[in-house]
Amino acid sequence: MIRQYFKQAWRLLMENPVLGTISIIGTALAICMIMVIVMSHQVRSSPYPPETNRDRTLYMQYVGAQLKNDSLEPAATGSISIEFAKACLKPLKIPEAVSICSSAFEPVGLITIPGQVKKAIHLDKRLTDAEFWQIFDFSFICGKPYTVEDVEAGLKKAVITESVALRLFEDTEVAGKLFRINHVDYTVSGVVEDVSTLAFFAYAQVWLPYTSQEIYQSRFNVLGRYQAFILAKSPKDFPAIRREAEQLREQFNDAQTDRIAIYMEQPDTHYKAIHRFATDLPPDMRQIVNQSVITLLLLLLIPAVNLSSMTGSRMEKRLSELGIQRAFGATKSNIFSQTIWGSSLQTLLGGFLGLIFSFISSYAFKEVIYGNRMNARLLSDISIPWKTLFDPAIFIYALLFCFLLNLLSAFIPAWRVSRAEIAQSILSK
Amino acid sequence: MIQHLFRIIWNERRNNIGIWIELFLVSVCMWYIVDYIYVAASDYYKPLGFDTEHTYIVRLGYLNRESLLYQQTDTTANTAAQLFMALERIQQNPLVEAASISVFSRPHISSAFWESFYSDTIRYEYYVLRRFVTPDFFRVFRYKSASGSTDELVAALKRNELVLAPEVEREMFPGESAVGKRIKFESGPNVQSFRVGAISTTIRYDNWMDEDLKRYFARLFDTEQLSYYDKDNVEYLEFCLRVKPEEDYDFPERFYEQMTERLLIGNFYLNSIKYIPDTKEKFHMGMMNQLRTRGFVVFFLLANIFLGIIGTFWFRTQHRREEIGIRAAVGDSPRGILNLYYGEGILLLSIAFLPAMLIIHILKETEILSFYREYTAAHYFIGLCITYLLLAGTIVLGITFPARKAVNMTPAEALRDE
Repeated sequence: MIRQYFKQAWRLLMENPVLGTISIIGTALAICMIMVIVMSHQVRSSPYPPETNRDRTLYMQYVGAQLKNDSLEPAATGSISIEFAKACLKPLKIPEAVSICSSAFEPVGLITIPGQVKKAIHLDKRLTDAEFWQIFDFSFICGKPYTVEDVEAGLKKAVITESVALRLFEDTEVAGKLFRINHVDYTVSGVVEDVSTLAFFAYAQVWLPYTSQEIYQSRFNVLGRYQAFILAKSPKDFPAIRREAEQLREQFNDAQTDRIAIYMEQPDTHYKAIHRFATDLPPDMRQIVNQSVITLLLLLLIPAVNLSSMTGSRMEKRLSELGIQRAFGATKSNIFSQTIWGSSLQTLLGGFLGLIFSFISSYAFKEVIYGNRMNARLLSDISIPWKTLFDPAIFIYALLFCFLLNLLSAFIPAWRVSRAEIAQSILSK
Repeated sequence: MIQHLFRIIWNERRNNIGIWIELFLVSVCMWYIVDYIYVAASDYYKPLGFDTEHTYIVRLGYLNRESLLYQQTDTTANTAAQLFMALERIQQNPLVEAASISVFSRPHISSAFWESFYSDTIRYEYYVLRRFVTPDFFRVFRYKSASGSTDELVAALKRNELVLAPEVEREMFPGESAVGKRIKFESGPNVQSFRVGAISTTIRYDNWMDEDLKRYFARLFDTEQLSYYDKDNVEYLEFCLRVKPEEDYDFPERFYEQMTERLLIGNFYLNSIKYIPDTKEKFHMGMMNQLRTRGFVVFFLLANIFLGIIGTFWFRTQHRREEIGIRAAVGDSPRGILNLYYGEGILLLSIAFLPAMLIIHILKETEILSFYREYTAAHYFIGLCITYLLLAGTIVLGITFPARKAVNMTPAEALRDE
């Protein structure tokens, strides 16, 4: 029966190519816009290397130092100091691992090769502990990361990306080679595959132990230059981890006389953490979600209204034919489903086209879709993780939205046409 | 003619409902976006009060103890002297027009220091942005006083007096000049006060930021302050410089080559050199992308209208073939028939637009949609006009194809359909 409907729909499409094309283009445009949004959401939130543990990681990027006796005075806010991280975050027992890493505001590193002082390049550097390599899943081309012992001893070892290795040494098998960061000699401990700037927390071009540079002073015992990543054994542990973090924070604050630490709704899940742009304000997740929902609704509704009036007009033209069908025994629901299935052919065609456009747009407009103040400063390009885009989930979402669009646009015309009086239908032109 | 059009629209009201709803929805959405883009664009181009062309920000670093270049004999007492020497050497470089040291004061950054102000015992109700700068900062970014002079501001700072924003002057000392008045940063009797030396023109914080962020004061970055920026904090110092326009090519590479040894002073070394308009572009990236995205949505909405109108009027054209034939046979010119079509489209738009205007007005009044700027009547109507014109244009374009086809039929052919 459905094959019949499809055949009919195909015939109809061929009969009136102009209108068919318009409907298909309209659908393609809508599905393209919707899928670009869906894909950008996937890329931003679903896990891929090196951030394979996104759904069980919590993030602490900033902390506030509030006057103990005057909570009305705005707190001084910024990144976290090593002392504070060691006092309140590293001791967490419930998580699998806690890592300290320098914040996204870390100054670029001045990189030189011994013997070539006048030519320098700048690289995005991160200072980390050894646990950093547990939290993220890097692919090592050669060598290995620095270990807990290396960090404790403050050894001058560094991990670099493949591109950096090629730029400095014109080779990637460079474990053990010497180069200079900020005029200090470092040995290459390992070389990893390049990291996309979209993996914002794992990203850098060179990583070194934070102990290999002198630790910076902290302000008010709390503020400094670092952030912390908390790897839970499972997302179910999040509430327990938050409670434990609160306890440690309160313990710390009791011992403070001048300023106390405030967390401003952290530790964050990944999705919230990437929306936290200000050091002093938690992101308004409700507004962000509302905006996305409203946008998707509009992207569905407006084309649906369009397609609805076109489908409606087309159905009215066929009213006499449908009337005859009814006269020969077709029920109202037969007519109804015929209409819905008929229009689903062009929705699927348009949806397929739209999906292809959305892949092309995601690539062509990646700077617009993903660029923001934080990743614009970084020295690498935005590179799209293609495996995430070609995830089966994307195709399922596309089908879902096609289905919704079809339902919304065909429902009213199908309803009207199935309710039409038989005699009148046959008589209509 | 209009009455006639109304009748046509009313007769086909069942079919017109769809278009009407779509035009109504799209009008509201488009107005919102167009308004947003209009406000953003008009804010972007308002004068900033400073100039960043040909300016660069240079950062120094402090050598790690294990660096081969490290010098053991260094003591913190020399910090300020070394940093001033670095500034002097930068100023002596023939490529450089002006150079200064500052902290969190350069344009287009998100970080800032805020200070409270007291005049006698009265506390100024707002926090004021603190710009700790050496006097040539005003030359680097071309701040001007009300009389157009940068020298006035430079001289005031050299005398260790304050330079204020005109907004602060207006609000703290209404009706009088603030020059000569004394300001304190803490309340209390034995606190040092500073004389106000000069007032600049309005300095905006950034191309889109709020009114609140215009209130600033500038104070001399002296030896005492500078000595705080030792090994742990030197990365926060901004060495801003203005390059001579004719020398502004490949500047970072040339400067690094020329200055890397000259700026190895004590244990300070030259780290990075960035072009400020580049940092400005990156700072604005998020907002620009939002605007571009909204531009795409406008394109999407207009494309939908375009397709919808073509589709609807295509049907109508076919549907009305006889009608057109009769009109043509009775003597209406092709132009006339075409105009009837356009008129119908525009009228449909206008009918959908009126309730949209009302909805938009309500949304603005109840602040359901948040706009960071207050809107005036002029603003409201400009947004409305742009939206209306965009939609009308799209509709006219969309009607053109089917309508032309209809009009070019010969009357006999059309009548034959009957």
